[in-house]
Amino acid sequence: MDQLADRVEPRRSRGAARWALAAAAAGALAGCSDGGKVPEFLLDGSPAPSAPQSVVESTERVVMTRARVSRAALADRLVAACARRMPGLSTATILVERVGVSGASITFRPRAAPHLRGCDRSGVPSESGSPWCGVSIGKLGSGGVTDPRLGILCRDRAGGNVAFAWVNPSARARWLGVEQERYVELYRVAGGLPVRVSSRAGVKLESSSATFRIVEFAADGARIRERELVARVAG
Amino acid sequence: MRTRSLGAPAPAVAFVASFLLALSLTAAKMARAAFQDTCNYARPQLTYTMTRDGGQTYTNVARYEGYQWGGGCWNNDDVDSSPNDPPQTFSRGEGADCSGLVFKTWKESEHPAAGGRYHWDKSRNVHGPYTAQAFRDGDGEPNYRVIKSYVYVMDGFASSGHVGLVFFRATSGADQIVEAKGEAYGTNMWTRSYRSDSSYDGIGRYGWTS
Repeated sequence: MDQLADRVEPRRSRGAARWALAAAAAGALAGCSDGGKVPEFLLDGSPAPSAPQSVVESTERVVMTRARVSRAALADRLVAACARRMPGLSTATILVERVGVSGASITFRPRAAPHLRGCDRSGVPSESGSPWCGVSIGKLGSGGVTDPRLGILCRDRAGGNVAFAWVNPSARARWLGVEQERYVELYRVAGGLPVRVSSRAGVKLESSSATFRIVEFAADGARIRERELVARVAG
Repeated sequence: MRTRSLGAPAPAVAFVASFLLALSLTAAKMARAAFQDTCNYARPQLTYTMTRDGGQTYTNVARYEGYQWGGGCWNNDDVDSSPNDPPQTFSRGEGADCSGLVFKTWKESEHPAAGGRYHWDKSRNVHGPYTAQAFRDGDGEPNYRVIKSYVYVMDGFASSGHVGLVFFRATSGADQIVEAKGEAYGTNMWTRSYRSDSSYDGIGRYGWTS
């Protein structure tokens, strides 16, 4: 345990209390209906993996998402469909594939390119029939993407908009938690790339923006940073 | 006693000077970033007509009014009220970005599934849900891709990072394109060869009435 972790320990308990309160409030509200349960399955129908115990100890109602880092398998139906909408994929390209509760994504960096590319899906095909309802290109700077490249065109099966954005994790972050309406969705930092997160909460079509409430966790489960990312559609 | 009376003003003066400096810097920053405070969030007006020459007139007002990443409102004084905004940063300045200009000119809805025509006043602060890439892909109910040779006035050309509208089709084979090009360039009309540039695709919008 280094000194920095010791210093942020007090924040951990304050932050944990706030998030637990938010989760409890959401749960209480949800108690009026049958929507109070934490999702057990991800967008692709698979069961959500177990969340790291160190994170669960400090945060209630956590749903772990799945992340896989691999070389692009162009024979894969979803990867091929992404490649059709977003050129730059080859068998040598390293992909980060993510599956969450309301959204899934592919993020990759074409060889030596100064930008990231990616595809988003929410379970509802695009008008053109692609399983990927959104694609994004993000310019890379020294600290990651220079803009989160918000996408709000995807819709879930209930007709609600699903927002996607890239988040630059801090150096010590191993997981990112994104607050949803009734739970916290947990993303593993992977592949040395910004993390494409998704949310149904905080989407504002009237201002073409979305707000993501994010908490970063270190390997030992300590809360490193909490922040609110207000992302806007641009460019 | 004397020493105290002579020495006391120095830190006080330094404090006041620092305070005034900080105040002036803050005021300058606020003045520079506050253009969008003059914008509004009025509901768009549902319109039944949408003409291509009306679109030209609309974009003409936006010319010389600057560029703002993620922005979408401007006035009509032919001056960028927030010059030198940081690149690719939303800083509440004047002007649209490339996709915001197309969204407003094409009278689109902030709801991608809505295909109607909505007039957005120039000072209405709205960008719309589409990026240049989304326009290029024909995302959204009113939008579609056009074979490039068929791209006509107020249709457009879009790449993965930029989009502009045809103002005139020039005889040289290039086009006069009205576009929000970037902070250093602002919004204006330039001769472009997007029609022959393989990184650009033709785009259009359903619903023109003439």
